[in-house]
Amino acid sequence: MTWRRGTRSVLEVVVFLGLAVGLWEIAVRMTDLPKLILPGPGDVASVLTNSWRSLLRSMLATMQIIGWGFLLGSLSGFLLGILIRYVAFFRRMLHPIASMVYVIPKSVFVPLFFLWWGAGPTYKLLVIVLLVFFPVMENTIAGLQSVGTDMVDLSRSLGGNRFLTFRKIELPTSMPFVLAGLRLGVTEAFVGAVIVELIIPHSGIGSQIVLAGSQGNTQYILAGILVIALFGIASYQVVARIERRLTFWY
Amino acid sequence: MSAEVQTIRQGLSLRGIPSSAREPVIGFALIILVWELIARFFIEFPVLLPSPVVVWGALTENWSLYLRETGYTMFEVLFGFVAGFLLGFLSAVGIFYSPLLRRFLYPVLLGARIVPKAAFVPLFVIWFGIGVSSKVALASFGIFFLVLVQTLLGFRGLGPELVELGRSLHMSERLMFVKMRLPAALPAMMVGVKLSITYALTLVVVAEMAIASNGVGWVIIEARARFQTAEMLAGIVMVAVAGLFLYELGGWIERRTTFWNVDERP
Repeated sequence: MTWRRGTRSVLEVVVFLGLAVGLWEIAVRMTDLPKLILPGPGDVASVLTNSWRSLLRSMLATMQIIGWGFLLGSLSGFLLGILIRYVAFFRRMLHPIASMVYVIPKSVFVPLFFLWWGAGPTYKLLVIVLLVFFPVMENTIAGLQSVGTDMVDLSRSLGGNRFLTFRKIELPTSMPFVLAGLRLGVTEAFVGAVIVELIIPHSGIGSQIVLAGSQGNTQYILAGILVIALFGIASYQVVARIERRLTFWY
Repeated sequence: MSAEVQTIRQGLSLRGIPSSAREPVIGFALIILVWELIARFFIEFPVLLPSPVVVWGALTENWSLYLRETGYTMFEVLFGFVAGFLLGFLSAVGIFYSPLLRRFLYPVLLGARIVPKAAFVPLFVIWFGIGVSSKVALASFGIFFLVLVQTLLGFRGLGPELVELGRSLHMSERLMFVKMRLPAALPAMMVGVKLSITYALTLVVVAEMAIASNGVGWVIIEARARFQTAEMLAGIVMVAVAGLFLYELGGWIERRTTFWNVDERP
């Protein structure tokens, strides 16, 4: 039942998008807009069919960085979240500082990291880590704090030591929060990769878009955005599905 | 004995700073001290990491430049924020009252929220040039989705029993909107406002760093091109200050508009 409803809403969206694309094509043909300002869907489609190879290659290069950055960022955010929750020093000293860094747009660090680590993957990776790190850390802290004291007291009174209580009660209870943080982190990872490649166009899909922009190749920009969007939505769906599977009770 | 300990403690405490802020202030001071020491004794080439004193010197030397360019950035952020908020809010009202639009558009909007808006920078440059207007447009475009989705979420938050109550009292839809739906939506909307006001800064600074002719992001990129790391760091400091200011502004707006909602606020 739910499956059928799901299929129907997907169909609806597809029909709606098809209509929108059709209207766009008609509008572009009726008016005499130059291709530089607004190419039609047909132009974008021809870019996709002609240069899908180079688009895919640069997108996969970006995806590699995104994957590593997401992994490192979420791992460090998770670990630091645990430390901030349980160690007073981290909570009082590090948490406010991390919150302040969070408010600073991370793009300003791109030239600095590039200066320090050069043209390798490190400078990209660090920016993505910085972006992914924060939502995961905040959600880990919130999740661990959501554990009621009565549950902890119960475990302690039954003879569970600190670590056992953490492993059996606090960690599972915080999981829905952590996984929600990971879902936010995926979006942030894509933002980070695009930002880095836009500011210092060195490699990857973002630099391709910048290059197309400087050549006045608007249809290539749109095709690039479309590819990023597809990969972004797919990655988000994968993580959201894992989240639902792992927190079926929630 | 204990009184003595008390006075020593008080003597050591940083007076005038609220106790909750004491440790982060000490932390910051330590970071800057360590930075100064590293820059002074370990870094062979100052271009890699100029000391905080040098950065401060760069900032004060060209104070008017930094202030002017940060002013541009702030103008773009606030203008883009207001435009994006209005567009997002009005579209949300339209979508809320049209079941057809809601059904077709809502999933598309949720998907559109995931796409990194920074990728649109080259497109907006083609449309609006490299001046102020392209950044205002980009910021309002990015904020639009956030405000729209949050407002729709807020409208949904009104319980059906209250809607029934309004109907049974023969309230007009306009009255119900003003007295019930809007107040019910405000907390979620304000979360959107708080998020989007810092998000606008992110987008504007990215655009300034990618392709632009003004703004504090442009100053950072120009300094990078000339290997003037101190000037670059001074620009980063200005962006950080702007970020903190906008974050506080967002929190202030939230507190003022949803003053009744103190406990529920995340």
